[in-house]
Amino acid sequence: MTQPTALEILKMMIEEFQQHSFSDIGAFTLPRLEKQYEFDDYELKHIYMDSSLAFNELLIQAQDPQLTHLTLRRLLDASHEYFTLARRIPKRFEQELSRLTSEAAPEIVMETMDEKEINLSETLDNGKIDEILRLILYLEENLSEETGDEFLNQLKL
Amino acid sequence: MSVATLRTKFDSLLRAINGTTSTNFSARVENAYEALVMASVMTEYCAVYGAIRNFHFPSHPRFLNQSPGKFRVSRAFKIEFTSSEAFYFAADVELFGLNAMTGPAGIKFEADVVVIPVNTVYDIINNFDDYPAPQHLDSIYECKFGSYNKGQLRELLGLKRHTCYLRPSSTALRTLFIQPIVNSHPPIALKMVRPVVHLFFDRVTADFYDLEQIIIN
Repeated sequence: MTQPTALEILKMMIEEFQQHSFSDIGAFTLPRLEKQYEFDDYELKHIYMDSSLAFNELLIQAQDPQLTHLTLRRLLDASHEYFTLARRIPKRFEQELSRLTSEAAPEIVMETMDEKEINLSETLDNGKIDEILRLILYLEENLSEETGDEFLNQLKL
Repeated sequence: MSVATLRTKFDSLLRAINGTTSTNFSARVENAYEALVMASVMTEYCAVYGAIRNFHFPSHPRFLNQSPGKFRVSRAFKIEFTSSEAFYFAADVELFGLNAMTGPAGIKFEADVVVIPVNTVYDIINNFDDYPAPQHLDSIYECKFGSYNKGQLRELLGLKRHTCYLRPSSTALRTLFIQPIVNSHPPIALKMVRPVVHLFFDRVTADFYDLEQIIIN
């Protein structure tokens, strides 16, 4: 995709994530301590990056045409990681319990403030998450500048 | 097709993922993460205390609470180890602080996952109005799936000071996950749990307070 399209998609995704309360994805765009630790200097090792500012940082960074594609990749990677990890929580819960007991794990059920219940195992394994993951992957596959913007026409929604 | 069409698709997908319940997806992920952390903590206790003699599921199906409150045996997992140690594992419990070492008093702080030795439960229920105090706790976990900010680190330090004196631990050295409990009295392990690594306190401060960030995903 071309740089203007990459910038437009980045802005669109951030606006959508903010509008629908998915700002937690910002935390997954922050630099990871482990990877950078031995290479960065003191300042970089000890600076606190707030996840609420992460999207703003991305928007600023993406303004530099040299960095737009890289920034969009960071956001796509972060969204992919967020949804993948979130969706597999119920399965991981089962796996952990299966190491402790042979009985079947209970569903993850939460009591809300008004004493209703939400089955979190069901709501996290949402079919729509597959769709958004496919969309994110498709954008990642076509991220290269050489692809041009034709891919938008081939996208089947 | 244009980016505007892509936006429409994103919009409808995110709306569908959020669903119609009163809490949004991110909040539900954060809540469900506590269940995963609790299961991982049980696995860690198993590594420390050895073979399980009995494993009890909570008798009440709703073992997570949107609003933290009292400790309920019916909503806690219970593990008895062959070493004769036994613990309850519960989520979303409010805790008394050091002020309550001699009786129920003071404000309460919430914790996402708590581990309570079974032999302290009688005291919690009969003398502390179902809220655990420091002498009833074995370990505490703060779960943060998404957002990351400095306030969370302050929250963790605050919870530590609420529940422990910075003093040499009274019991033999014990390690849960990686960090041993050295300078806490009562010797309560307190951990911050995240799905990915983020900057934590500097190592020295964390060591002083026996604090640790663990990654469960």
